Amino acid sequence: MQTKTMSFRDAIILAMSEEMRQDETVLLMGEDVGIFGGDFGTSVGMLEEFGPKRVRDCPISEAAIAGAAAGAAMTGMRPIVDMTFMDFSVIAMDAIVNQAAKTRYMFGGKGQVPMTIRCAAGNGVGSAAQHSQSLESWFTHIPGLKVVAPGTPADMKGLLKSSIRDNNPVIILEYKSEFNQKGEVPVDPDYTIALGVGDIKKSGKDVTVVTYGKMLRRVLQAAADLEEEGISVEVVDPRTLVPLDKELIIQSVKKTGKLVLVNDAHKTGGYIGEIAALIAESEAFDYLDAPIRRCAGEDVPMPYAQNLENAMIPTVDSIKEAIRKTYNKE
Amino acid sequence: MADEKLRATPAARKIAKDWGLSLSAISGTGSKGRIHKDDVLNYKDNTPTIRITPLAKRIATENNIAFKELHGTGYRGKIMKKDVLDFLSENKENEKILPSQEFTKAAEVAGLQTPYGQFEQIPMSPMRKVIAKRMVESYLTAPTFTLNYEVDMTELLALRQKVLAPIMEATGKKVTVTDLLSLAVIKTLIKHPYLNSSLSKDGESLLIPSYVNLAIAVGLENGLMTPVVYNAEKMSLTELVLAFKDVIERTQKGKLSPRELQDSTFTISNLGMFGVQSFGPIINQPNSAILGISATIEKPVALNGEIVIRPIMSLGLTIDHRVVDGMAGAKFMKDLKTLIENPISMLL
Repeated sequence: MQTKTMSFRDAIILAMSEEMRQDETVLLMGEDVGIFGGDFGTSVGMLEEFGPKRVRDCPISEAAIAGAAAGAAMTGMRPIVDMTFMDFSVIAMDAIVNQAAKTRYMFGGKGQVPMTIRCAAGNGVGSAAQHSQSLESWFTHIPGLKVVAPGTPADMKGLLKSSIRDNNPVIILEYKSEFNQKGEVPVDPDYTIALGVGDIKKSGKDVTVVTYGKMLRRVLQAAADLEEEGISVEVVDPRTLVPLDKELIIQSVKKTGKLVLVNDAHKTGGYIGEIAALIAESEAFDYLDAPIRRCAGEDVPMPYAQNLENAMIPTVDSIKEAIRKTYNKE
Repeated sequence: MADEKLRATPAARKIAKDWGLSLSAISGTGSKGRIHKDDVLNYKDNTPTIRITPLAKRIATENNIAFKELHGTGYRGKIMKKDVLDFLSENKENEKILPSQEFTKAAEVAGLQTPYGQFEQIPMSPMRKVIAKRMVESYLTAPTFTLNYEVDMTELLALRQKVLAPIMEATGKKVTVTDLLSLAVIKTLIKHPYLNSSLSKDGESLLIPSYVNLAIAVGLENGLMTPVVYNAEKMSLTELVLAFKDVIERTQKGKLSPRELQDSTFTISNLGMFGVQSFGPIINQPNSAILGISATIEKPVALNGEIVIRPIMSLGLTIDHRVVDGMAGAKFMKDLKTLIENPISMLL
């Protein structure tokens, strides 16, 4: 497969542009997506290629944007919403949770809502308490929504394209601190990754670590470091949180008997708690040989000060420590 | 206050249940004593369950082989038919085991009445039978005599005190009197090869090895084994201490391979710890001699015209007269006594 080194940002622009070229019902809408090229530069050059009807700058009202997108989706378009900061999605909750997520069910499948909501999530850029949250678990709780959290540029391209093609509302997380991270990305316009298919990012035999999104890079670094200490870590990246590749996680836990869960969202009510419960209820329970351990963000609002911001979410060192503790039967 | 709750991971509970093991018998290595899967696996590996296939067991039983001592090559050390047959072919000529036709199953009789009361009839274990047969063979084939010597242990005991700490530091093991006596025996055997030799099977020639494979009698609950330390003449005291500890421990745990009981050239039997004053052991064939070590007892002895109290130990050397004459034996014992009483010469 032919690949090109590109950043998350370039992979996002490429995925949207490819879909807009091959399907004229696809459009991009949101604050600053047009002339400014996106608050995070994720639509630079797209206004020039696709024009103002398909790359629509919107007024500052996330409720209006999400409502308009849901309506457009119900009437045959495939809107992509750039929500910018994920924190703003809470303003759009009624349109997403009560309208977009419910329509297909309430109308017996006669209507569908093929919309994609792109959210810039996570901390790491000094954007403080109201602009640094990872709110995936607000959405994973709602039947009718799909939630995607890619951890590499290649996964971003493949999963964003599948999200746009999906006939249901999809929330996709883009991590602000990762936009410049580079990776090999397939250039084939037909390259997609099916939603609900996870990936073993590194195989190992001692401890399973399930993680996604921003934390994947740190977990892989921790796993590489621990390999030198003689601890063989298996890194499982579900990639989509809903639908979840349960079997992949269950099989990995059956193999290693030990499970550590890592995400950057707040620990309480975070999505990794759901994975812990899934394992406890599954056939993998009888294979567990240590308590399940979570390594997650602190349960406090994000501070602005950089040293405190860094201390809020799992680091390579704290992830290593969590894995070591589980490996050493603590 | 101690927390009495039994902690065990789901995986540990499941395999313990599958194998019918009681978790309360297993000690956990996890946090607060939590039992993990490997604790259960270790427990199972260290409990003396013998894994053997039914076919291998039948062949072993028919040939009167103590299969507990066999080394299994199957999954998790399971003893296979091949392991038993290999052992058979290796040992047939040594007559260490009975041919199958001589094997008769002992009658299971719980108790018998006599005019004086009851007695119990217990079938002999395979190990007991091997010991019985070999002792009779040795006793009936070798014309033996025993040389008794008294040895002053003052210097050797002093040497032991000096090397105790450094050897403990180097190996974590405690050097014993037997270890030091063995070193003296090995040094002396090299100077007196006849004591280290054996008679060929046809009884026509002498086999004189250039090495010392020293066997040591290890008493067990229901029998006796003589594990061997090979090429002992090449070992330093530290190496000897480690080698002895290793084979003795494994003998006591029943983890010795049958091979490690073979090819000895000389045997030591120490009953000193039980207060024995003097004894002449029976030769462990094909050896030509065996040294019995008795207790060290404080005795009044005349030294330079004065009566002093000294730690005195009795040594009894039993010799096969077909191979070694009295004078050769006496020369060996004289050198051994000199070496033990002047142990500094062991360094030479």
